[in-house]
Amino acid sequence: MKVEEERMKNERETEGVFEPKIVGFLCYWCSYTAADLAGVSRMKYPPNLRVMRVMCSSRVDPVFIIKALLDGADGVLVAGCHPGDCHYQKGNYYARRKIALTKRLLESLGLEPERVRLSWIAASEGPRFAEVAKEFTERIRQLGPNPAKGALFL
Amino acid sequence: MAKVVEIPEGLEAFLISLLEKGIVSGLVVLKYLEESSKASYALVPAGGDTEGLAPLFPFMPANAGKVLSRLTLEGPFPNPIAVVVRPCEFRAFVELVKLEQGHMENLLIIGLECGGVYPLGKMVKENVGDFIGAYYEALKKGEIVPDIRPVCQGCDLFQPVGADIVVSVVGRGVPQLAFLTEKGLDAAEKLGLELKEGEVFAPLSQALLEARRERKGQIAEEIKGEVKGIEGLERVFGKCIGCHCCSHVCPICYCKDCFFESATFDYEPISYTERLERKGTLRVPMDTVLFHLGRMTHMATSCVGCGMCEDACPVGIPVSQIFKFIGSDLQELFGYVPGRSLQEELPLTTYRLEEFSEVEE
Ligand code: FES
Repeated sequence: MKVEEERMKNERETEGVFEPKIVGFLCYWCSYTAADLAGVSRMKYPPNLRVMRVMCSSRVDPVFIIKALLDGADGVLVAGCHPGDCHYQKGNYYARRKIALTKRLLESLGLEPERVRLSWIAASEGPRFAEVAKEFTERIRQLGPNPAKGALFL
Repeated sequence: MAKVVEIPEGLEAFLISLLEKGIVSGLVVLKYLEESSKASYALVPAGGDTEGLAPLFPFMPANAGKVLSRLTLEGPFPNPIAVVVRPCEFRAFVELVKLEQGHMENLLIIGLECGGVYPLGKMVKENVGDFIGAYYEALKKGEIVPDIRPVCQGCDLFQPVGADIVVSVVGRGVPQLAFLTEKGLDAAEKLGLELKEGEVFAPLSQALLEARRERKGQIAEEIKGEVKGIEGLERVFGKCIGCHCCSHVCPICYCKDCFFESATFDYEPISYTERLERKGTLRVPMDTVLFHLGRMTHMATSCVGCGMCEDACPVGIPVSQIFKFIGSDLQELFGYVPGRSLQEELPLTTYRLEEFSEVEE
């Protein structure tokens, strides 16, 4: 990708356009492969996503998400295999509960649950991956920078 | 309606008779220390020192759920033991048993209808004789006792669930026992008690329940306003000194190796310098707020709102009120009430095939 896009992004940033930083936890067995596929198929999607590979969506402890948000990430994407397709049979069902919990926690604390997104993206769904990345980046751009970014005493 | 009996000679006498008649081989109960203003949980065997039992003393030096977990972690008691517990203590124990941190077998559960407990600091620093009378007076009238732990003031689960024997005190001059299970009835029979039919709780217990519910709502509103948003988190948790006492006294936080005390949070120097570039000033050690929010995600679905954490906090953060408020939100999400039943699965160790479609995007 990405040298060119990265350069454009940096340019936009220096022009004062808000470029969200998004942390993406992608399941090794599906969504990570989908991201790869999107890459090799030269699909266009915004470069705002910092990808971390996890062995299953259920590996994402809500603490990881909160850590990212408190440290200033503007959004967190968790992506895994479609229900029924988890490599470990039921990991993604647990993941769904953890995300539901995390979002409710953020809501109760008056933070922004919209900054967290859970999506199912199969290994073959390169285009869907690009779509999710685009949509989510757009949503976060609308939301604006994460207010935790400037906080000193977190 | 249940089988009940009044005990004018007091709960202490009843407990001692359980030991003397050989119905249980020991008691787990609060016992006064040298002066009768402090107490500790004690395991009292048959023939042991039953001087100064304090089953109703409104003091919680440890959540008894945690005490029972320590006692039964490696296996159940070989012989029957009677335990006197407040509802939140028993509910904590139920959660711990589900977490494989204790055994329920061979316990005769004597559940107190709970009027609340005083903050530890108050009990230790002030003269208990000055206010303990008012405690029992308020209970008799079915009122919220002033100055008890704030979470107790807003606790609407003060009527025991799952106990073999319930001790009802609210709205009564004389405490009453209700025998609710086979085990409980068996004990009553062996003691030769003359049981009659009666309500488990006095009518004024209902009045207290309503008052407590109202207070609970008020606390939730206040807390919600206080911890709102990033500024709220900074304001409320900003003074945290990171001692982690709240988690050490928490009955639900049973992990010996807490994630938040692990090397995960020892960072490479480079990670500090990178942060510095972004932030200008960096609070060290980092992650104080993360600790609290992370702990919430780990244990708040099982939080019984006992108030130990808040009492242990040296800088006066209303930890327990916050966790209870957040906890009930999270518990509601899964339709879960911690400690309600041993059969109900912990929310994060189970799932339904179809649920929470609103978080799938
Ligand atoms: S292996 Fe992909 S979600 Fe579990």
